[in-house]
Amino acid sequence: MDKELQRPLLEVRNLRTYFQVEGQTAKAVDGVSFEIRENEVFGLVGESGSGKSVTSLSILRLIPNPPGDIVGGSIHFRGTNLLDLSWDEMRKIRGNRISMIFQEPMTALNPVFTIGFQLVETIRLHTGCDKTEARVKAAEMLSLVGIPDATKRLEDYPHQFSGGMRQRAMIAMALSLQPNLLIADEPTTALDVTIQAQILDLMVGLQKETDGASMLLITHDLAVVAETCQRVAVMYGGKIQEISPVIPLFEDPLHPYTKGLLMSLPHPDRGKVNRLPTIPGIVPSILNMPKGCKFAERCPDRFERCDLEEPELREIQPGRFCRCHLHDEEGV
Amino acid sequence: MVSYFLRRLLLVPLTFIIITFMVYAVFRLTPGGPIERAEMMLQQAQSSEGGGGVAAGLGEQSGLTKEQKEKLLKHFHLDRSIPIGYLIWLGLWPDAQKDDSFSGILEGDFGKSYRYNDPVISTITSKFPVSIYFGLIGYLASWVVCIPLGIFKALKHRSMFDTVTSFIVFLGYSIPGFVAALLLLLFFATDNFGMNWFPLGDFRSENWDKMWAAGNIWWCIKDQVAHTIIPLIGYMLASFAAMTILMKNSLLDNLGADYVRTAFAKGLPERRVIFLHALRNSLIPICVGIGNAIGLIFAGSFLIEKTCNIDGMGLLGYTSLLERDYPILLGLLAFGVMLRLVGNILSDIILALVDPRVRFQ
Amino acid sequence: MLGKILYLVIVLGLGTFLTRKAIPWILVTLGRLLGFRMKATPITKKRLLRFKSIKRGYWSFLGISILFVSSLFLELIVNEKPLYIRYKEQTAYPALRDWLSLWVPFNSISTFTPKNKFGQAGKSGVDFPFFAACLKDPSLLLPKIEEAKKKLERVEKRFKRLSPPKESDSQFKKDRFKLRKKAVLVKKRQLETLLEAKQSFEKGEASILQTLYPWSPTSFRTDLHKNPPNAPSLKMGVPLGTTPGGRDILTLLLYGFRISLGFAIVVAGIGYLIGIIVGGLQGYYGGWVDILSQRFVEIWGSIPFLFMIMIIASMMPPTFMILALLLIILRSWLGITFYIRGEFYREKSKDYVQAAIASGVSDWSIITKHILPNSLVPVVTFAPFGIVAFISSLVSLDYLGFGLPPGTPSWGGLIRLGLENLKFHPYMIIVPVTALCATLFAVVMVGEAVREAFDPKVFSRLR
Repeated sequence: MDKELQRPLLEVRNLRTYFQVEGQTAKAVDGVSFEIRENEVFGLVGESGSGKSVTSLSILRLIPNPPGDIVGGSIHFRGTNLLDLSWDEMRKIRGNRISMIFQEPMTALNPVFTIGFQLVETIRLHTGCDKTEARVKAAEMLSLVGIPDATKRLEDYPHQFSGGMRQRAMIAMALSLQPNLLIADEPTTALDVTIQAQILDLMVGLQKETDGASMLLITHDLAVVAETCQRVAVMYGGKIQEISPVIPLFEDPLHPYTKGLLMSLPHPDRGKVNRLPTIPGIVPSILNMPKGCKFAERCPDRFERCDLEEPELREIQPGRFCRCHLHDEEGV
Repeated sequence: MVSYFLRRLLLVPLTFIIITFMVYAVFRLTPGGPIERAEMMLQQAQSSEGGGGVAAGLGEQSGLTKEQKEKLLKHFHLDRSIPIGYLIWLGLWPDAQKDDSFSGILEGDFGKSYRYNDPVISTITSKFPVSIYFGLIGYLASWVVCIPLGIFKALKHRSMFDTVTSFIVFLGYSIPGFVAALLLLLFFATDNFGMNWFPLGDFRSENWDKMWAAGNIWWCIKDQVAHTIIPLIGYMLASFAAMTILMKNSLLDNLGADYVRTAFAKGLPERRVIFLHALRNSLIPICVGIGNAIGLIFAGSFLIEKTCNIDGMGLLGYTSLLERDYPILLGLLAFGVMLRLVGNILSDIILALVDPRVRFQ
Repeated sequence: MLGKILYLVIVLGLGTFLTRKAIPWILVTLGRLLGFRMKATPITKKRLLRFKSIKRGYWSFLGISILFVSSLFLELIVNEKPLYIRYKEQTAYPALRDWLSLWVPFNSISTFTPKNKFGQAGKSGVDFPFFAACLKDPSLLLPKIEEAKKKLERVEKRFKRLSPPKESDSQFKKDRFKLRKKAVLVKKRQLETLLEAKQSFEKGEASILQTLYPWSPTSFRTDLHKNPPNAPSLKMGVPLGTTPGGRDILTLLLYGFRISLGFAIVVAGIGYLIGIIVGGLQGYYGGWVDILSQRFVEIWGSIPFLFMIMIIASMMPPTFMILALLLIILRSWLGITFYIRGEFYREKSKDYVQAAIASGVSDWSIITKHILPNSLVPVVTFAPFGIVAFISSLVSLDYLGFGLPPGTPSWGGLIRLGLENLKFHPYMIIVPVTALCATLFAVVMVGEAVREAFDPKVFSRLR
C-alpha cells in the first residue's frame, strides 16, 4: 500500500518535443521532468509560448507531425512508457485512461455531429456496450456536469450550446470513462469569468468524487492554481523552472520568475499600489533561445554566470525544486 | 427554414423580371445594335422616301437582312417606349396586336424561332436530353474521380504522388476544356498520328437509330461511348481540377481542425477520425457545388459543342447567333438565368441539409 | 546572326530591367502619391520571401512578366518594317514610328512610308521585304525591269497610234490622248525608278536595318514560292508555318500573346478596382446597402456572360476596348467583391479600426490606411487565376468568332483555323494550343505559388 502511494501515476522524464519551423528547430519542450501522484491536482503554469500545452499534448502523443516530434525522454503511466506503445495500444489509453479537455470549446467539438453522437461514440468505443446503454450513460454524464434536460439535449448540435455548456459537454465526454488522469489544457480561458469559476468547481468536484483520479491543470492563471492545485510546476522557455507544493510556492517563491509572476498579482496585504509590477521584457523567441538561463534577460537578479551556463533543476528544500544559480551553494 | 426557401423561390420571378428587362433594354439600347439601326430605318422611312437607301446601307453593316429587321421590329415592338415594349414582349400588355409569329414569353412559348418557325420553348427543350446526358455523366464522373483523388492527395500531402497529380491537375486547370477536346480530337480522331480511334464529332453516328431499331444494342452502346469520351473530358476538365483541389484543401483544413484532435484524444481509430469526422465536414463545400454545376453545364457548352459538333443547347445558341435568331437567343438567355437562380437555391438547400450549423432566417 | 542574338539579349535584358526595377519603382511611387504607405510590413516581407522560395512559381512569374514587358516593344522586334532604312538621301525609321504611334497617346504619327521615295514604283507603302531582298541581290530587279520595259513599249505603241487632238475634236478624244500620254510618263518614270534603284543598290547607296524577325502579322509570306499554308520549316525561315491565307503564324502568335495578356491584365485590373470599391462599400457600411447590393450581385452573376457578350458582339462587332469593357461590366468585378466584403467586414469589427473610428479618423483614411492594406490578400491571390480566366474568355470569344475584329492577331482565331484544318494541317492547332497552354500553365503556377505564400496549408497528421 505504501509503495503504491509512493509510485506516481504519471512520471515524465526529460521530455523533449521539437518543432521544425521554416528550416529551424524550435525546442518547444526541452527536457521537462515532473510527476503526478494519485489523487492529485497538479498545476502547470506559464506564459503563452512557454511550452505547457505542448507538454500536455505530448503526454497523449497528440503532437502534429510534421512539424512536431517527440524526440526524447520518457512518459511512464502506471509503469508503462507511453512513448514505447504502438498507435493501437496508445489509442486504448486515450480517452479511457487519460483524457483531455481543450482550451477552445467552440471548435473542439465536431460541428456536424450531435453532442449525443459524440458522447456515445466515445463510450461505446472503450466499453463496448450497446447503443441504448451508451445513450443512458451519456445522458447521465450530461446531467452530472449540470446540463438540464440532458436526454433531450443529446440531440443538439454543438452550435446550439453556449460556450460554457460546450465545455461542460467536453468535460462530460472526458470523464465519461472515469479516466485515471484528466488533462485540462486551459479549460476556462475562452469562457466568461462567471462561468470560469463554475467550470473549475465542477472539474475539481468531479475529480474528488472519482476515486484515484488525478488531474493535470494547465493554466496561466495563478489564482486558479492557488485555488485548485496541490503541487505546481512553473514553466518558462520550454523548461520547468520551479516545482513546489502550492502553499510554499505562494509564500516563498524560489525562482525569480515565480516571484515576478506573484508580484504581478493583486494582493490584499500589500495595500494600495498605483500599478501592479510587471516583468520587464518579453518571452524570448522559441527559435532563438539564450544560451544560458532562459529567463536571464528579464531577471532582476541576473549575474554573469546566468548568461554562460544554464542552471540545473535541483531540490532546494524537500519537495521543492528550482532551476536557478541563486540557489546553487557553490555558485553564490 | 421552409419559409426562407419559399421566400427565395418567390424572389425568382422577380429576379427573372429584372434580368429579362435588363436584357431587353440592352437589346434596345446597344449603340449601333440592330434595334437602333432598325429604329433609324423606321424614322427614315417615315420622314422621307429616299431614306430607305441609307437605312439599307446601314443594314448591310450590321449584317441583317431587311426581312430579319422587320421581324425584329415586330418582336421588340420598337414603336413603343421601352417599358411598354418590354411588357408586350412579356405578353402582359393588353392592347398588343398579336399575330402568329409571336406571343409574349409569359404565355408559354417564348415566341417563335425565325429559322424553324417553331415555338422557342420546344426548340430549346428538344436539346435538353443531350445537355443533360453530358452534364449528368460528367458530374457523376467527376465525383467518382475527384473525391477519392482529393482525399488521397490530402493524406499524402507533399509526397511524390501528390506532386505528380498536382502537376496534372494544374495542367488540366490551365487548358480550356474545348482546347483539350480539340487536342484529343487531333491525336485520337484523325489519321495524323495513326491513332484514329474516336469519331471526329457528333452525338451519335448517323445510322444509330436504325441500328437501335434493328436491335444491334451492343454496337449502339459502343458507338455512344466512343462519341461520348472526348466531349465529356472537354465538358468536365475545368471542374475536375477545381473539385480535386477543393476536396484536397477542404480535407487538409479539416484534418488540422481542433475537433479532429479531440477525436484522436478520445482514442478513436485513425480511419474513423479521417473518414467519418474530417470527411463529413470537408464534403460540405463539395455538396454545395452541386447547385452551381447546373448553371455551369449550360455556360460552358458553346465551345465544346461547337468543337465536337454536338447538337445540344450550346450549339443551338451558337447557330442562333450566326443566324441572328433573336427569339431563340432571348429564350436561351432567360433559360440560362433561370437555371442559375434555381441552382443557387438548390445549393442553399443542400447546404442546409448537410451542415447543421446553417439556419436560414 | 550574332547581331540578332545580341539584339534579342538586349531586348530581353531591357525587359528584365523594366520588370524587376523600373515597374516596381513606378508602382511604389504612384502608390505614395495616392497616399498609401508603400512600405512592406514584416508579414508582407515574409510572404514575398516565401513566394520567392517557391521556385516554379517565382520563375514562371519572372518569365511571364519579362516576356510581357518585352512584348510591349514587339514592333521593334518582330515587324516587317525595318528599324532603319536609307535610300540615297532619304532615311526613315518605320518600326520606331509604328511603336510610337501605338504607345504615345493623342499622337498623329504617320506610320506610312511611301514607295516612291525608296526606289519602288507606286504610291502604296514600301515593300520592305522586297527592298531587303534587292539590297542583297540587285539582280532580283532585272525581271521587274524587263517587265517595266515591256509595259512601257506597249503604252508607247498605243500612244503613238493617236495623233494629237485638234480643237474641234470631241472631249472624249482629248481625254483619251491625255490619259495615254500620262500612262507613258508613268511607265517611263517607273522604269527610271527601277533602273535607278538597281544602280543605287549596286553602288551601295541604300541600306536597311531589319528587325529581328522581319514579318508582321499583317504581311503575307510571299517569299516562300509555294502556295500557303506552309508547314513549319526552319530552313525556309517559317519556324511555325503559315496560315492558309499565307500569314506568318509566329508573328500572329507573338502579337496574340501581347493582346491576350494585355487584355486579361486590363480586365482584371479595372474589374478588381471596381470590385474593391463595391465590396469595400458593402463591407464597411453594411446594412441595407449591403443587402441590396448583395442581391444585385447575385442576380448580375447569374447572367451567362459569355453568351451575353456574344449576343452583343453579334449586333456590333466589338473592338479591344469594347470587349474589355463588356467583360469588366459583366463579370470581372463580381468574384472579388464577395471576398473584399468579407475582409472589410472582418477588419472593421477589429479593435484597431473601432479605436480609429472612436478617435474620429475619417472614413476615407480608415479605409485607405487601415482596412485596405489588410484586405488585399484575396486580390493578390485571385489575380493570377482571374488572368487565366480572362485569357480563356478572350480565346473562347475569338474561337467562336465573336471576339476581336477580324484581322487582329488572336490565339482564339488561330485555334479556330486549326479546327478547320484539323485533318490535314495538325501544326496549325498544335502551335497556338501549345502557346496558350504554356502561358496559362505558367500563370496558374504563379497563382498557386502566391496562394501557397499567402496562405500556406499547414499539413500535419495526428495518429
